[in-house]
Amino acid sequence: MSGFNKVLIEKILKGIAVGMALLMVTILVLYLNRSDPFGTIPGKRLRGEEVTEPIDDWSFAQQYRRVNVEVRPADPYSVNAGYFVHERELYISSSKSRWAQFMLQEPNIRIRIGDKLYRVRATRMEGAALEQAQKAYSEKNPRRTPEQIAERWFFRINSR
Amino acid sequence: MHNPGYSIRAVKLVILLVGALVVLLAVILDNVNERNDWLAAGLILFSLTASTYFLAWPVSRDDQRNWRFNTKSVWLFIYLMVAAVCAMWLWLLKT
Repeated sequence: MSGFNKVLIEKILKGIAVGMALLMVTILVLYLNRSDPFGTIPGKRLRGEEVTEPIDDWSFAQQYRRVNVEVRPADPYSVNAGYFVHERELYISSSKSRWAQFMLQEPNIRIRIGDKLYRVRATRMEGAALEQAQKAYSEKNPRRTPEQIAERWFFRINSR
Repeated sequence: MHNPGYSIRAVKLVILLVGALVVLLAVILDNVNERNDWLAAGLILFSLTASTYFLAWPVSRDDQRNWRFNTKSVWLFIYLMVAAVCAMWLWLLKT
């Protein structure tokens, strides 16, 4: 056989397969023992120091790149979520994703900002409040088209 | 004389190398991170092509008609598992 050697290729591929199998096992162990969300992979119960005082001004949240949202208290499910602060109020926006649907079913959730956890209630915006939230969101995300914004759900977050 | 078996082997090797190249370039350009969709796509291409080198049933009969475990199927399983995980990863990124 000229040009390439099948046996040699198979030997190399076996070596790569061993590396990949070890990597997969490591990923599986990390996934099963996960707590915090990682990128687009949802996590479980969030860890952090819980703040009990009610929050009236959420402006401090703007210094953080993202917030973590923990929904479905019975079987915690956490994700990285897009957020914005408008007139000291905290808003979370989402496409009609799985976690947002959980949040509609059970609006009592927890969010983590920085390393602090807050017990909050998420209220879905409708009517005039929705328009106001969409406007604030579009100012902060000028790349989003009106059609994309119209498809999103907006929730205002309040302490409980 | 043209040998079709040789052509198939050559095409398989080219696809395998393209997959490896995509993985390499994806890592160089965007590091190893969960948002790197090219890395996922390259791994799918590489794993699926690599799996074709180990096509075998998990068990087969030997010359004495006894059932024997085929070790080759282990490598097939590993590559198909990697391809499935990467497909799920890509799907999560695109939804």
